[in-house]
Amino acid sequence: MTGEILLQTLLSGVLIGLIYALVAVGLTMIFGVMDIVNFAHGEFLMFGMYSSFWLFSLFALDPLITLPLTVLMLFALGLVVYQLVIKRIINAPPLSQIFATFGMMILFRGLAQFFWKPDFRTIENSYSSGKVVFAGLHFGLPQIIAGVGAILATGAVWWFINRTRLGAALEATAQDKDAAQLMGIPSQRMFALAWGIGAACAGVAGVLLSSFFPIFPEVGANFILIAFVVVALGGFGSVSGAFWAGIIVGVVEVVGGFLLGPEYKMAIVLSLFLLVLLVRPQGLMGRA
Amino acid sequence: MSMLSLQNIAIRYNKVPAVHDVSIEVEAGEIVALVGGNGAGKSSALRAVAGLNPVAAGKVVFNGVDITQVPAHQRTGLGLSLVPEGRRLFPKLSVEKNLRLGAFTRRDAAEIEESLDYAFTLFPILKERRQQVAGTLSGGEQQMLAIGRGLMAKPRLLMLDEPSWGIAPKLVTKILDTIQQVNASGITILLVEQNIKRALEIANRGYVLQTGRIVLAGSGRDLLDNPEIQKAYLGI
Repeated sequence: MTGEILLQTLLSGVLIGLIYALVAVGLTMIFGVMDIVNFAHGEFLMFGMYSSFWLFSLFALDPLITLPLTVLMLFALGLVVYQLVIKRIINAPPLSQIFATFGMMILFRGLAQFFWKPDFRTIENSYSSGKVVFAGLHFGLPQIIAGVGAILATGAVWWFINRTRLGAALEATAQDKDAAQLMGIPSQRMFALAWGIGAACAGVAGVLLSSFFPIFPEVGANFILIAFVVVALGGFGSVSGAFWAGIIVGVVEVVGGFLLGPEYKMAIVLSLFLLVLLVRPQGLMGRA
Repeated sequence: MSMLSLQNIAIRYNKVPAVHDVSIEVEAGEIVALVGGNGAGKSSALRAVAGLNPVAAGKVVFNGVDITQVPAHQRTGLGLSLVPEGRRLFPKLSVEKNLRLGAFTRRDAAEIEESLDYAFTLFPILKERRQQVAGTLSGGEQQMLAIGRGLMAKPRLLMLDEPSWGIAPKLVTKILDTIQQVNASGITILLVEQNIKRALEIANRGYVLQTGRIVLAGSGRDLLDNPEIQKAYLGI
């Protein structure tokens, strides 16, 4: 019996970890290509959730149906953010870069509160509501769909970077911007692309979460801190590192919370973070 | 008309001048060497041609077109390619991916395969190691990959910055032989070297730079025979 509960907890950890991975993939991609930490990344996720919510409330369209639309909107938002804000701070001191993305975080939360009120919203009875019982283990269908969706989305990003010409150009820019320019690769466009893809990843995570997680203006805060832990654990700039680190963090959080009590969840995750910084600061798959 | 002409260029780093009033001509089909000691401004001049360094004054003209204001990434497609100092490979990507990225500006898949075959013919070791990650190659192999990658753009002018840097003497000969072979196939070469003797031996013409200025220019042979050069750089 205890074994079953532990297995159940473990798999729940994996499912939420897959979402953490997807959020972190976007964050790590932006960092990898530009060396800029995007503090407003959780707000991209929040916009993804609200996009699902409003399309569901106003037009009765299921989040999974409107996923492509939300992805496009978030991709466009990433490009706009790059053009309006990030482009101006590429060569700025790190502190200015931090303030710029931190400021965006505050702005986006404020806008969401102003237009959509600070209330908790939920999406009831989406396609993916329901339960799945498998070998005596119980799972919410939304969590399973979210986990599978996160795998597909992370896989798509991995495929893009490793198997396409444009993805190789993005990776080349991340590894050596000047050398990439010598190959004829326009850095500015690669930066914009990284922001578009990064925002879209967070948006997909938001959509997948929207059918089982409350939607409110500060929801990004729940994920950004964990995403930083995942990025550091996986190695800054590594997509596959973020994937495995996301799963590890999800499992550590859920299993640790189950064993020690849910109030210690974040303490356990952050202890892991400190441990990583002390023992292996370059992360699991990061550059030394 | 020269293929490449640097006209009175000046380069500054944070307002500190590195190159003053330098003019260089490279004719189609030549091997031209830019030689001189450390900090003479050789690399700065090459980087200015590639567009990585902005010029504070003067003009860069390539095939009769003023490219002084053209951004670096648009210059490759015009037919010039720089094999940078320190090689600057993409260390975590495979040999083959590094090579293919060299052809980023080209679209014709069949022609890109031809160039890939050409690079493998010049440096067969790269073919053997095509799936290996570039960062794990030896210094000499990395230099071969950097040259191969530079050729993948199908340039009319190939610029090489210190190709003998950090590689075994035996390989230096191989690399310089290959540069002559590439030149014989119709590609113009602009070469920067600290290994002055070897560079001038294969060059049609050379320029000697000293603290950001050209102090001597002439045919490779004349410069090698020049007593000042022999005294200052060749230790004869």
